[in-house]
Amino acid sequence: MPRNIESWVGKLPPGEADIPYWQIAGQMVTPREAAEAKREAATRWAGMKPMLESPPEIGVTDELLIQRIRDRAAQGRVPTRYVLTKDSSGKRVTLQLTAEEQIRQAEAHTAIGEDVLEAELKLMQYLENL
Amino acid sequence: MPVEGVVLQCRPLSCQYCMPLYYATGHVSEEAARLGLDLHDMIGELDEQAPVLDAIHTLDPLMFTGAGHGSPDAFTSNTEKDVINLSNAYMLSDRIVYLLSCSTAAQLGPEAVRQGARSYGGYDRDWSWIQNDLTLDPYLDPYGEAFFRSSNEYPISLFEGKNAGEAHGSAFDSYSYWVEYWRTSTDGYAAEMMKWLLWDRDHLLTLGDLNARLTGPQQPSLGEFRYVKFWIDEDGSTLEFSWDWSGGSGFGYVLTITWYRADGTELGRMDREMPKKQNTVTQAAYADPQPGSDYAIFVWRQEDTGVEYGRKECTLTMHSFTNDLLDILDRYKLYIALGGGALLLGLMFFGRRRPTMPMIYPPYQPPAQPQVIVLKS
Repeated sequence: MPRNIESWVGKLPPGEADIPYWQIAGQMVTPREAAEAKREAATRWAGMKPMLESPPEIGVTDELLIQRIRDRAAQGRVPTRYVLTKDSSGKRVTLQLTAEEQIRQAEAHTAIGEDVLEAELKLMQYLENL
Repeated sequence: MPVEGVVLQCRPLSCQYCMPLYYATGHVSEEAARLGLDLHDMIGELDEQAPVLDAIHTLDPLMFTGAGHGSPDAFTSNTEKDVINLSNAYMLSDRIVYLLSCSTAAQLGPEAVRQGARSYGGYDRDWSWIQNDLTLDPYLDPYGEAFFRSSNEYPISLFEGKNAGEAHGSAFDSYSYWVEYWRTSTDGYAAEMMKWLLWDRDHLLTLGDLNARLTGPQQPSLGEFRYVKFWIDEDGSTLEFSWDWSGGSGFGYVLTITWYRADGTELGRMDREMPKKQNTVTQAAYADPQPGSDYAIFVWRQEDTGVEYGRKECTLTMHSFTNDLLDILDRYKLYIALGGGALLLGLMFFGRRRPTMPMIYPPYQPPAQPQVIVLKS
């Protein structure tokens, strides 16, 4: 493969850049399409990089936190959790939190749900510094 | 003024998911007993507001600790009713507090400190844990152990003589240790374990005086009298004092010996600065000594602060062959017992019948005809 695909495309004879040059996984790929894919990837990386370099609390949304817990739960990696809270003003509180309950509370942004999201962010911050 | 070294601990049995709390606080009790503290457990039915407040009033403990459900304004009982809340937070006045409970450090803790609690350790948000089997001691549970050991580190550190700030640090370090433990684990729950250990760790607060201690500052050296003796010669002219102290000696220590009549009248006093661990000193006797009823008190203390490390009392004994022999037996009973034991073992070993050796060679067979040798001159 040419080292710099964009400049290589410019050096090709007229029309040659638009006819297939490779067959990748059964699909015909022209030099111009390959150059375009590279340019798209670079643009996507440039968009991601500042976000990846920033601390988690800046770029992280509740949606992402919930998705992380959902995915972890789907992998069977969220155990039931217990808390030592009490009934307050006659209102029964949840003392046993299954994976589903934690996700439900997080999606509903209840007080328990906010704890779930905050704890997940805390974990990400810890992992960030490994 | 609360009594130093006395601890009151709430241990619920019946509240929801509370069996692990009961077991976990049992480890705190064991450590207190090991360290010689006077810990009073309020277990099950005793873990209710009336008995607990009554015990606080009666025992006046320097430390109040325990586990139970909680909220920002209340710490609850065996039946999840309030034990301590904002209206009776003054009961924690002058005490060192640690509560394994949800959220009490948000309001109850500050209020207790405002009303005079020396220090308050607790959590300002929900305290969470993960455990496989809630009917078991969490120390035996692969997930529960990390949470409860870390929490217990706080009161146990106080028992060991650390101050509130140091106890907080020990608990924090324990949570951190377990977070790292789970980071390197291959268990599927590892990330969630890390997450909730970090959560508990970072929501542990210590309010009030971080220098508050349960047992007073650690002394440089402690000890005890293994032996003291107060003698008088048979002719009644000379007093003799002997002692054997197990702890520190020399510079910084003072041994004071005071002797009395049976009715408590002081007869004399002797201060030995930089005393030796083992020694015998003599001096002229006082008038009309009464062996068997006059007595002496030996006190070992720190010179600058006057803090007492140990004291022992003994009655005046007259030197005589029998008394001296009894004294030797008493003073060296350990060595005598060891010597006797060694002698007994020796006799058992050397005195027993040897086992019969297996026959290796054919038994000696005497010749068929006796050989007769005649010496002729």
